[in-house]
Amino acid sequence: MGRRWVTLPLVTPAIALQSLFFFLPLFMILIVSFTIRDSFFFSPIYTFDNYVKMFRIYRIDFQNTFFLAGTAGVIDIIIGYPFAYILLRKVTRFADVFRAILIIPLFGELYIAYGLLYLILPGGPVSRLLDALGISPLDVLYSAPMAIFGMSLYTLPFAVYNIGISLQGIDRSYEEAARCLGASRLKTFMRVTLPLSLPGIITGWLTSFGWNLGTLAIPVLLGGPILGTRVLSNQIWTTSLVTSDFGMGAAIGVMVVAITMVVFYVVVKLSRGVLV
Amino acid sequence: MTRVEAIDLVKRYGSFVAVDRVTLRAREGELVTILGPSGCGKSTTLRILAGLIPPDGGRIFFDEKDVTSLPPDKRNIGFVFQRVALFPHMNVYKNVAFGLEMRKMPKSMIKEKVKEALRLVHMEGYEDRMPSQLSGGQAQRVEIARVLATDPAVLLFDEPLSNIDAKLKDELKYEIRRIQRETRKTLIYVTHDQAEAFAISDRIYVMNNGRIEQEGTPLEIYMNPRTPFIAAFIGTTNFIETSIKDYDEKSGIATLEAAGLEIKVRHPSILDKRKRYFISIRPEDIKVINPNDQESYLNSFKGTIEDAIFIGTIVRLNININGLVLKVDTYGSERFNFLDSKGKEIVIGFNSCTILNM
Amino acid sequence: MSRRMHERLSSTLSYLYLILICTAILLPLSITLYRAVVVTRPDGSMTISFQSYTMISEAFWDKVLVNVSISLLTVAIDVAVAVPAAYALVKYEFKAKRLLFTYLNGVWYVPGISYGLALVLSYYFVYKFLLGFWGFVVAYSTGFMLLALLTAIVAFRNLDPVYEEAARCLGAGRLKTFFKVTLPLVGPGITAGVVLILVLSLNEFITALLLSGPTRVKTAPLQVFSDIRHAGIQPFVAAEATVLQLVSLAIVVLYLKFFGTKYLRGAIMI
Repeated sequence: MGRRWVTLPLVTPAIALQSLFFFLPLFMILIVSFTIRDSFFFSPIYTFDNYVKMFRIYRIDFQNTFFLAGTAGVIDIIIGYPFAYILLRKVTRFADVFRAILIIPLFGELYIAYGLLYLILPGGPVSRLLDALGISPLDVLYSAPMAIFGMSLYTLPFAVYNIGISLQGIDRSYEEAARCLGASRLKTFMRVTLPLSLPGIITGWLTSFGWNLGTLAIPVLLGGPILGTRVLSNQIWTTSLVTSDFGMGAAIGVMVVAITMVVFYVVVKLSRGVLV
Repeated sequence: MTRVEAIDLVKRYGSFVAVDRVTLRAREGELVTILGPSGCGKSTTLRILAGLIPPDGGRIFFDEKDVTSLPPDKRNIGFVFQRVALFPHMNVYKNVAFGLEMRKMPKSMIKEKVKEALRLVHMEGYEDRMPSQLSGGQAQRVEIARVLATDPAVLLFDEPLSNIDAKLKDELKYEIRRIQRETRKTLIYVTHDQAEAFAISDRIYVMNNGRIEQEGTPLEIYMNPRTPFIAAFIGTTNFIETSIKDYDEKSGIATLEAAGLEIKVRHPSILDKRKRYFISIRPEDIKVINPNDQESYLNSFKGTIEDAIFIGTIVRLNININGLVLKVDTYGSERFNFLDSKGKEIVIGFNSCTILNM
Repeated sequence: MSRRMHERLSSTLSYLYLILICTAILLPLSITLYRAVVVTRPDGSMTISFQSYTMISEAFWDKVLVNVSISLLTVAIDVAVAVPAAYALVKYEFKAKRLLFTYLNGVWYVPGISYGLALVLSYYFVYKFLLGFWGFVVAYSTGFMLLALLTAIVAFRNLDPVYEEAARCLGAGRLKTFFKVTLPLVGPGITAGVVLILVLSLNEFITALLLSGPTRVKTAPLQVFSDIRHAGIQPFVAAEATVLQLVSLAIVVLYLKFFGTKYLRGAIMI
């Protein structure tokens, strides 16, 4: 029977939406990244200049972005692993309350940035405490650790989710077998559970990293005038839409996508057999 | 009442042949069972009959009408599933009315038909319950009412009792038989439970590895299993591999040899001396006999009791005859005498056994 | 230490850990709320007052309305597009199924900032008619469709096919079966996607920031962002920042009250 005639109309709208408004724009940003300034809109001048200049002008921004997003991802894994493990293995009462709270960071980076901004600003609730301890609030705010803290709060749910999925996929009998073979709790965890949940750790870090590459409000509001403005997301926004250098903005945008893809590819390759 | 005829049905999954040239027939108002172990293709066959799975080959007729390419909703069938398939978002009334609404019946008539169907399965008064509030047995009764309400041409039951506990199962299988008799519907019933099949069926198709191995009434299949598989699958039996020693055409008695013993079997046709045969002897056909009575049995042997196992109404003995161990069932009050008789020498005798091709 | 005591200790520590992390997660929202409603009097005493909410400008509420309309349209489009696709992906075997799934997942692997710029360029050059309100709707629909797809896939996978088979055998055709049996049974699962998209699109910031220039449409989060930059941490800004967060929270809590976490698990929850 004509299965195809059932399937095709069902998937066509989804394919159309993604092709027209995701893949076509991606193709356009690639083209524009090879044009000078806003020449694409009048008579395009094609050149590699943007890519050549990019690494000279924006090296700091690349470094900052990858440092912030990468570290936030690592912190997410460190905090998120016990969280997922406890939620799945230890806790039965109120488990759904904890699950529900994990949705809140999805409300957006802007609110996280704003909440933390007030937290240690002079006159805020914590600043008095810090003053009493002899720490200047201004040293804590407007710093890399604060931006990283905000970012890791923002993407913690993704880390917990990815780790949780791989923990759920582990057959408990492996762990029971290890215990029966004489391995202690800790040994069982280190030798069986942790290696088996490695795919979740990797995908969790990647997702966290990927989302944080695109954050803007957190680094700009929390990172301070030196670190915070020199991140890729801010440069993409300002070069293209504030100073109308669409070519350069697109080039940075393409580079961010390319780097994300390379990271994904490398990790998937390295973990072949683990990541299925 | 509708006649069902399926000819040469084939279903493949990759290189695996799930249903291999299955042909079966059910006469008007007949209850036919497809019996076989799990994975033998019986459920697949039934789902093909329902139109839930398209066959790769073969034809299906309801009376004279070829329904092979019709979807399930155009076949007018009543399918009862193994798992409870009552719609969880509708109450009992809505569930039973569903099929009637699909047939665009007027409301007043639907009401009447639902009531009648629920009465037939003894579930009146449950109209407002949700499926989650019913026990397994009740749910299956409503399920049967739901398919009966639509007055289907053919009923197809796919192991409807396999998820129900033993006691209730016994009760429900006779219910199904009663309902089938009352409604005089043609019913094709799939099960892996031979007791269930024997209790309710007019005729049985025994299926194995995607093929029909034998077809017949429950009695025929029990008495004359055609293959070693069926002999083993239906009830308990002693299998002995033998070779032919002699065949006396006048008396029609074959003499076979196994483990140094000569076993005599009445057999209507000549047997190939070069081939080896299985014989199947049912434990209930072998008796512990008085040594003086040996004359009245075709076969009688001396043996030692190796073990006596108490299984309720039966005490099953394992009797060693020259190294050949036979299962023998003993009944009645005398069965208790054997419980402490390990190592005792006795004489057994039997007349009937079946010769099977290997 | 006895085994029992050991177990009790480990369970207590487990709860403490979860509570600690959840406190950190709740920190930004609680602080914003604190700033919005807690007023320190000149004499040093503190009271709760909702006066800050009355200081929110009319323009902000207009932007909230724009935001809500964009979100509702996004949800409608995504459900209409993703539910049939999820149905096909779960129910039918066809070639390139994995490839199609990856194709539809593409958005997930592209950082929002790059995607936003790409969209802006395509609006400038190809889809000029989308420069405006509808540009937002289309952008959000494409960006969030994945969430509707994933939750619908989970819902369809969890649906025992026996109900649909029973409906077919009882005489219902494909369409009737879908609308009378399949859809009511997977409804709560699809609602999970609706809730997620609603919440995320109400609060979307980065794509909106890029789109707002060319489309000349400003959403509520953008207003909050510019107020933060210009007015700092004044109570009315804090009040603005809590509005959509509290709306989102209400949506999530209401959903969980009705359906629990069952349908969100496996999609975005463990």
